Amino acid sequence: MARNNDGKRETACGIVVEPTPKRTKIHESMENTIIPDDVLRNILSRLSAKPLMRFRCSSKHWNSLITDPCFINSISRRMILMHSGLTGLYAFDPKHQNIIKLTYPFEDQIHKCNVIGTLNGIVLLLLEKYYYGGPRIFILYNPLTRASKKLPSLPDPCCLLTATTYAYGFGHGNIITIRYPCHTCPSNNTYNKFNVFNLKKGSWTVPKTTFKFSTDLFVHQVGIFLNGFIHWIRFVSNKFDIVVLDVTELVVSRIDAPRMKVDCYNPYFSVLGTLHGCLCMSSMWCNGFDLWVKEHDEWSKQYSFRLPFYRHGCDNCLDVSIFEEGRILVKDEVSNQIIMCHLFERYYDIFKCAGEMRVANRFEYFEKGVKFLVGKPFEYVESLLSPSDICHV
Amino acid sequence: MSKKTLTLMSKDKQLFNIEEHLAVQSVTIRNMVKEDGASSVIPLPRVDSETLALVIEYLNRQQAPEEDEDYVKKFVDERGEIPTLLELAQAALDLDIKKLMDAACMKVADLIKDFTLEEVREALRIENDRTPEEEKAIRDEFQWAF
Repeated sequence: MARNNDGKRETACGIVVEPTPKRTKIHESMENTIIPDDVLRNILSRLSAKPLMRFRCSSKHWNSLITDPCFINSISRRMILMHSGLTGLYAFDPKHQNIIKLTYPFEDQIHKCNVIGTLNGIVLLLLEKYYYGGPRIFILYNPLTRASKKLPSLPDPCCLLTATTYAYGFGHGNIITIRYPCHTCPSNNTYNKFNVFNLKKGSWTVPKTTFKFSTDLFVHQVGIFLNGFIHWIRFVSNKFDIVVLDVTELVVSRIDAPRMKVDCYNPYFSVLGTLHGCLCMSSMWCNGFDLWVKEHDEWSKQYSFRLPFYRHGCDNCLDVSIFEEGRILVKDEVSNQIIMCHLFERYYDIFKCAGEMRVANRFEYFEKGVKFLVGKPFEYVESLLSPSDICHV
Repeated sequence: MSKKTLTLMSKDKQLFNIEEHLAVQSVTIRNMVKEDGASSVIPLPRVDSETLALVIEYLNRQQAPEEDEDYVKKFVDERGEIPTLLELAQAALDLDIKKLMDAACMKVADLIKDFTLEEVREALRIENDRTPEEEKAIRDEFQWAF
């Protein structure tokens, strides 16, 4: 940049610039100017949760900008919670293609953690002691604000002397637990019992309803909620069927599973999900899956997916989860990759997991001889909602 | 054929010339040119001359489109002082130059992300209208963030 005698500057492209006031002067003049909200919002939208929460404190105006629902919606990430039982909570962010270890204030050596459901950015966690029979603690947790709330304990605590296990569901603002006697306990011919926690009422009820399905054969502890019903897969005599609970009436019935070929060694990898508001179920192979959809009371095989690569030395089925809009998350612990299939758009993305996160296969544990898989991934969209907003206790 | 030139006027009444085909990267100017041909001087009442000179420098860049992202990032990196970046962001907002606005805001965010409350208040000239009690309530609720 050349400078003429009269103090004018000439830029490279020949524009004559008048002498400019010194920088300090500009800064003084800026003291009175207000930064436009559009600029502030743009800056704030690029900050992570930690500075955002901290800067809420800086002024009332900043707080209102940060907590504005429109602003939060525009920056909140749609994440998939994946937890591996032992090592805490992970969230997979498909858009930014990274996996984040979530801070989770309940990590200890005594409890294992299970996710039962999500609601408006709040995660419903269940803490259970590793050894059989300890108390079960439900916690509402917002991973973004890290606010948590412990729900009142079950009115019907698990008795240490009888072999009892639980299944869970979450829907219509109700947490459902089903207590059931374990099949390894021959003397036990008692029936299953419900406990229902209503988030609005903030209290547990113990409905009189009971049922006599051998629920100890549930494949997954946590059921899938759809249109007022919670569904669990059962594996009985080398065949699947589905137990359905009406959440409002608390009536239990069973429906047939699709007539799929069953991998008797790995029934745990078959999962339920919803697709276009219909129930669907996966049948698993070691290199892919088929998806069966229940429309008008009929099951039909509508999608098939095969992995684009060969999984060396692995005869385990793939670990698959079904999300809204036909998105299927496939975890392959052999190649340490996550594959996100978009069934409707017919493409998939592969994410290589790096660092401390290994693609953990669903955490398996044995409880009095019954094998369970925990760790169903749940989707949630970050929000600033406080756990107290959805449940006042 | 000589290229058409536009004149922009900063808040301190200084005039800057820029070729029209470069100036229309600003959506604001593009719309003005479309409406009335913008033969007269375009006043920018919120942009001071130093900032406008930077904006003109940015608009005059001769970058291949594929290098543009890197260029704009480098451009704001070299002017990495928060007050300058804020002025630049505001000018980019008024002129509707999205890339420049995003890059400047990104840089500010990057600079302030580890700031304490006091530092951010000073850097972004935020008047503290929180009572100590209110501040304590938030500090207690979000201890992990401080």
